[in-house]
Amino acid sequence: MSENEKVLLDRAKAGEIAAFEQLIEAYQRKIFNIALRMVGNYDDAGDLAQEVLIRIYKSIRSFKEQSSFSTWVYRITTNVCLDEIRKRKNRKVISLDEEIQVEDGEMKRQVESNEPSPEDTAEKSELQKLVGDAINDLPEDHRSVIILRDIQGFSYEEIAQMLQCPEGTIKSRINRARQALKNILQNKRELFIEDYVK
Amino acid sequence: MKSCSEVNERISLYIDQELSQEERVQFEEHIHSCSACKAELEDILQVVELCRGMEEEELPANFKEDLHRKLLEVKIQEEKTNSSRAAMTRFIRIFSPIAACLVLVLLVRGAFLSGMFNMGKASSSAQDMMAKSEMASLAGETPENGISAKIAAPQDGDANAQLDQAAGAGEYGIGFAGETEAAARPTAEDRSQAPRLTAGAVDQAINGRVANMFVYNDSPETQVETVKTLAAANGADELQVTELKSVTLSYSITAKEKPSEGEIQLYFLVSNTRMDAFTGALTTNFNQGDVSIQPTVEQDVAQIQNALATRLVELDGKIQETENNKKTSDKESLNKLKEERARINDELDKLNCPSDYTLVSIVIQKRPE
Repeated sequence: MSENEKVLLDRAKAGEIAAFEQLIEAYQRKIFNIALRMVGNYDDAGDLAQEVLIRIYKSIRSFKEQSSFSTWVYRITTNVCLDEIRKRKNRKVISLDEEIQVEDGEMKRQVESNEPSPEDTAEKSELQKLVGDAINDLPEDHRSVIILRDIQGFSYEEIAQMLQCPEGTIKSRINRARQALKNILQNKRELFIEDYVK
Repeated sequence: MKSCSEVNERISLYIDQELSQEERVQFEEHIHSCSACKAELEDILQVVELCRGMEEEELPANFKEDLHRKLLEVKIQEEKTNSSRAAMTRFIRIFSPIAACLVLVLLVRGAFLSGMFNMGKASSSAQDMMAKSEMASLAGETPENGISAKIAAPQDGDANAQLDQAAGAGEYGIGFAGETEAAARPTAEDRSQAPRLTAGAVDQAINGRVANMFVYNDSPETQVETVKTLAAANGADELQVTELKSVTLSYSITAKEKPSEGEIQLYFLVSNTRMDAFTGALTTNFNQGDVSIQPTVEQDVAQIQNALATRLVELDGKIQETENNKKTSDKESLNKLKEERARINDELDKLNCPSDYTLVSIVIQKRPE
């Protein structure tokens, strides 16, 4: 942790919002992207990332500085995301296209979205979407290690600290997760290697 | 490492260079002689490559603004909880001995009276006394009263004066004043944790006092950080225009989304107890003449309330008119009217809350010619 970060951390612990915002400046995009891959939906990821940051703000006084700040931040990120995913399993998700009754008759449920415009999305390669969907089909313990290792590039040791598991468990979980992801991708596009790679 | 399953288990470790030198050699030997494992390694490598190629998305629009607003809410909520908890602790400390003694006195007196005189009269007088003591307790609990005011007043003398007032509010409390003083004298801990925001939400805050300030400099943008630092040092929280727009905005400050060229406008929420320190810091920091501090204005809340109430009556009339006139019933305008009515009701609610803050607007601009 740099001197500057340490100073900001102390000020944030005293409740100073401006210092907190500076402190998390370097982390929030990564937090958002982890959330995005965990839930697979742009709007929900935004809400979830905000929840993560609020949780960090509320508990920053309890950060004991035994682990690195970044590990602590991403541990909270994965915990909040995993909690949300588990919560969702227990409730029915409202379909966004479901018809709802209004006084004038029926209309399509309209959902506001911050999602990049259709033009932007069209430019994104089909491949990105395919892989994103495949990651979303993974069970959450596999999904989290793929996101942390292969998308975010954390080391085995860091991931073990974030997920609070022994490193040995993480090693075998990463291997199994990659095999599972390979199977999903092959099912989605049997010929994905020929079609999409080089 | 002879079996394919052993090799399969280690594919990821191999890719991530987590194998020992010896294991790596054995792994590579197997791969060269086993086409199935070689194919599996290539597949997994492709998967890893695909994941590594996933693009990072930008933060959604307004992400930081939304977060800032939520953080302010959390902070105010936390400080509110802390100060009401502190007030409650004091309340219990002060009033529980009084209450205990009162009950004892009433019981003894009640028993005595009921034995000697008319039973009904005695019990009614006991009830009366209970009610009075309850009222005294309530008086002590309201935020305007001595107890929570004391939190913001660190001097012992002041605090005790307030306490006397609080204790004296009850007819029977005055005899115990000496005891309550001792019990409720602020501890060192209380003083060090004097909250910067004692109560009230951002929106309530804007109903009280407002102050306009100007800082003159040839390149305004160079002074932004200085002003923000001075504000932060005085416990001020910066407000964004979006936050200001959602609340009853002071009549004497205009939140500009896009200030005029060469002009930067910042807004802060400053605790009333810190205003003098804040203006002092500004005048010390800038050369005399480079800073202009307008007198703090107390808003005429009653006048705003009247204006809002008049508008409310007007709206009610219009809504009724629109609803009754089925033929030309226009849902959209009806909804708009109803929305406005709800908003005004909200604003009236907010106006009922006294504020501990001053809304400060600081305009940094080039010196007027």
